Amino acid sequence: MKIQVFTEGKTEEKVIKKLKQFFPGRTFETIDCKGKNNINSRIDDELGPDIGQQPVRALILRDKDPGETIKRIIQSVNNRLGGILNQRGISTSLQFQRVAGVWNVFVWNAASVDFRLAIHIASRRALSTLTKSTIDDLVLRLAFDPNVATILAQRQNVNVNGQVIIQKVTQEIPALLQQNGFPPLSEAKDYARLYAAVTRMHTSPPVFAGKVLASANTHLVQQNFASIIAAIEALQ
Amino acid sequence: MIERIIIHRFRGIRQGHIDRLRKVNLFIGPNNSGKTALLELLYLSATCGRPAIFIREDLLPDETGTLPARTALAHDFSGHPPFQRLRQRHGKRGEWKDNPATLTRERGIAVRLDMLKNDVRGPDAPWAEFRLEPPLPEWGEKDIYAFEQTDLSQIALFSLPQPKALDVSMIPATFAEAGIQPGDADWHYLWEPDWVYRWNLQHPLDRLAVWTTHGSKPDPARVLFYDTIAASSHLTTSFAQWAYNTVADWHEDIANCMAQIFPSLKEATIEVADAPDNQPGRTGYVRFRGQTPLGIDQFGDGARQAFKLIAHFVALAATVDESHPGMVLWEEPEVFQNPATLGRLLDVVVHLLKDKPIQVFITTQSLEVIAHLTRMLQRDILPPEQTLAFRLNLRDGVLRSSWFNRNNLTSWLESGRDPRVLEDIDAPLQFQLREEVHEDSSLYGG
Repeated sequence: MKIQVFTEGKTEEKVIKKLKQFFPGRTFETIDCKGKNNINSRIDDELGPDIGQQPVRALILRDKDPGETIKRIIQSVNNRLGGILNQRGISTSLQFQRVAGVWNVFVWNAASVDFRLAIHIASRRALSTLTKSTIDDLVLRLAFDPNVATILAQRQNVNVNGQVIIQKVTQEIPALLQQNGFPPLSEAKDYARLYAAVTRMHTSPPVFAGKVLASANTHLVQQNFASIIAAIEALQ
Repeated sequence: MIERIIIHRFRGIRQGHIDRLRKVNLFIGPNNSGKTALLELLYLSATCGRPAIFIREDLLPDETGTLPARTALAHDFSGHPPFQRLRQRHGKRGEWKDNPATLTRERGIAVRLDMLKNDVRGPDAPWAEFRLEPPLPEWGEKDIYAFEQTDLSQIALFSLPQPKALDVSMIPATFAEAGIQPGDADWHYLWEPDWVYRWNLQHPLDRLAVWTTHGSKPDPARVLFYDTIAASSHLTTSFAQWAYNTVADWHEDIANCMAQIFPSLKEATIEVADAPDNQPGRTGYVRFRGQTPLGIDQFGDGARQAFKLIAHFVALAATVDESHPGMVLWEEPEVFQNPATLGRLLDVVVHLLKDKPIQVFITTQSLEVIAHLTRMLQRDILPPEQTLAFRLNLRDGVLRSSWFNRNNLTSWLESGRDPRVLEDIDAPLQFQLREEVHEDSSLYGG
């Protein structure tokens, strides 16, 4: 059965592509909603005709912006889903449950209409100074592993030790910028671009994500994205 | 406008319903999912316009024993007897010779349900017989509603328009469970066995196909069923004569529409005249200045099909009004049409029917039709609040439907998903919504 994955951007597509290996036989369709504000309406547009007609499995990958709370994010999806079901003449109670042992994944299971929806809310920052928790943070955490950084550098023909790259990206360059009056870097994407520049990738955060994921071993990927894997497992 | 249909044992549908019907409705879905069945059901119910009185002696003197009824008109908009036409669509003779019906002394019809063919005989039922009697004519008026011998092989259906009450034996259990009240809808009863879902007979009423239609029905004389058979037949003489006498500039309007669909016909005039070789019916003749007229049937299938369609649609659009609303049942517009022609054909039809009190039901297997209508929705050429596509699904005799509005259709087509199919299929080509198949500047404002 296909799992439809609703995302805010394109980085998530690379992540899902990598995580597929842990779910043989499963197909995934990633839907880039181009921002968090479009996710609810895309769910309506994409899933509405299928709910109640055939089994539906869906996953929402959400970032958490400053000021947002998990409760408010869940409430917003809950309200929209309620509206969709009501519009489609489906009466079923709607309640997201936290997935056991994973505090940032919630699942809604409507057995009567064979519909399961999980929400994963990114909740880890790659660096304590960052203001949001995003999918890029998870990618960056992986890129900050010294072994991954070394492999990345080798693949880019940059003859520098991984630990040095991490040091430059996380401390020296940001400090230099600040000393020269630039405001501090506040998002994981900023660091991803910096990292990409240092390693001569000349590319965007989603492509950077793809390269980072390709440089990490299975165990590390599994560990780093354990909460997303748990969200997919909750849809089984 | 018909807004809702609830069905008990019609053709392959054991039970089901479809809600939220709009002015423009597109039925899509796999083969054998009930698309054509719904068109036929709508056609049969909408052409029930001949008044009669339904009588069940076994219920009298209760008020449910005699109710105002309607049965099939002798001819539909295009001049065909409705029930005969549908029988022929299914490979049978038009006349139903085995109808267990006889003429009564009052020139009504008495129907013996207990004499129906064995293959659908249900459990023993109290409802074994009923009559359809003609309403009494006013003094001095002709008894136009009296039934004739020929009606016995052409009538297999009656409707009860919003009856005040119904005996429990006439209400399918699923309708009762859904809380449908007699006065909520028009109730339709069809007793020819081949139209009745034939498996799992459990209740006496299972011998009949029963359905309700909710909302206001069209004028029965303005119901056009345009199917693939109509596309390959001549116009009936009665329709062609009526249209010629009733619709001002009928020939000119047909010619204009045809020129929009087929630019090579821009300089041509069109006339409707007798079919060749002394055949019954009429057909179109295309005339270019200074040249001998050429029968439309000499053209390719696409042009023939378009001509017959347009001849009907022009006449219907010109003769409906709020007191006489129409209904169009259009089966597979894509048949015979090149995609570019199909796009122009749909544009012309939408032009014709737009702003007219006509409810439209289209079945299609074509992604191009879906994509073209979606584009019309995106551009507000078709009003989004008056248009829905329904994907039908018939499994184990249960009809289900899910609807697609403008946003659903747009989203699905743009992300490469196919709203016609229920499961993933190994499609040989990936499609995408093409931005421009052609441009009709008059439609799109420049």
